[in-house]
Amino acid sequence: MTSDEAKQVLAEYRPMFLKVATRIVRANGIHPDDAVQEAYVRALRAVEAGNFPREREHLLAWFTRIAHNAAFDARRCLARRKDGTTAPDHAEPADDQPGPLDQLIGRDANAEQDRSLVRLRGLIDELPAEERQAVVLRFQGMPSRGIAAALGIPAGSVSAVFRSAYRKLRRGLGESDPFA
Amino acid sequence: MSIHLLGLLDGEVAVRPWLERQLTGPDLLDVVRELTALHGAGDGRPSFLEARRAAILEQGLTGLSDEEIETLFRNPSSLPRLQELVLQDGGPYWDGVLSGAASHSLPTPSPRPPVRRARPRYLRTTSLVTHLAAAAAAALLVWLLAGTRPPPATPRGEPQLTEAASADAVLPTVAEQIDRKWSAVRRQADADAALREMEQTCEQLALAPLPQLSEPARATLRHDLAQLTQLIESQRITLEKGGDSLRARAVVECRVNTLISTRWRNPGDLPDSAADPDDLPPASITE
Repeated sequence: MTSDEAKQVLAEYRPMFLKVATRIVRANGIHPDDAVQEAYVRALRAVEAGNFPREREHLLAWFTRIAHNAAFDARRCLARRKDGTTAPDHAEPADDQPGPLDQLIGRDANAEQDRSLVRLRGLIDELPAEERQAVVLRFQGMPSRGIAAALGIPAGSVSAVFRSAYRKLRRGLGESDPFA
Repeated sequence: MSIHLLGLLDGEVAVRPWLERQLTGPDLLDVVRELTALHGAGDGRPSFLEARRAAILEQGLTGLSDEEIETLFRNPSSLPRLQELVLQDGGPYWDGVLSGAASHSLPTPSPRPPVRRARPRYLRTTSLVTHLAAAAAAALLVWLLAGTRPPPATPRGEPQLTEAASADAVLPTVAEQIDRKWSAVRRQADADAALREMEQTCEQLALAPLPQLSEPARATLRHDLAQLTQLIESQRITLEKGGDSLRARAVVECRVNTLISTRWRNPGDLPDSAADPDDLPPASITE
């Protein structure tokens, strides 16, 4: 999908996007007037900047993130106003526009995520059999009781298996171990 | 780069509510990407979705069988369409899910570690002074790592990072980004939000490639950031139990000062190689 096509979809389905944004904004406790149009404008800007998903069916999910971010920013601005502080409404750069930190961290974010996922698959393969099976089944959406039955272990033991696997996976991915 | 699926390894997290939160939250595309990497994109939209449409809109995913839930996981390409369905036409049930997702919906929230369930409560009760102290401490750590030379500035006054930037330029800029977020904190509600951003920033920084740093410096920085994050978290728990906020602040500041004095005062003194950050000697901490 090109940027022109993305803009066309945004225009054609504008009522749908605004409806979704309104719902998200309201869920954040914000009046729609404060963030819905802002979310839509951010989406248009992001498309013009080339920051949008190329798959048409991913456009709404992408917009959902923008709407959440716009709602959060609006909430923050309202809190400042109520607090009597003088910070301007748009003092912060839009979350959807890459800033200097994003350039540093996000430059290769997708490539980094791909590497992490490849690494994750390798790490899962290296887990002990019971943990490997539990993780694979869990990532297939199986509930704990189903995993317990499949592995022939008490339901109460599944959490311990998860915890052990989780530590190894985090460590293998180079992330901090919250249980250390 | 945190992997959202790891959040499923919390034994107290049920699969259906987790998936409902993803469907209404900001990170569905990340989840789809992760599931696709593990299972493939799937073979299209599961046939039961149309038959179950009314029940899903009214009652969420609770009406789906275990097998149907697993089918959704194995067909991640169907999830954006399901999201569209529930966000457009979902009933009051989904408003409730959405409100829950919104409370977790800061940009790219990190999955919680398993078992520790108290975090949302102590986020609400943490002292502002501890948040500010933690932010300042993290910023100070990173800033001192790079020395005191100010970063180059763009005409707009914003520091500019480029691929060719040296550590001297990059790290003060990162510190300034953190500092800027926290300087905007004026009240408790803002502190909660800023806290999440700071944690996210620290986590991203710890996972970023940072090619400007040498490998040992990078490994050590990641190790220290992880320790710092854990300490901040532990102090929040202490505060929730009625601990003294001033003491919490002192503990955090002491940790940062110790890290700086033992490791980061002269980054050139770092070892030439440090294959595993966990093998590094811990900074001596006085709490």
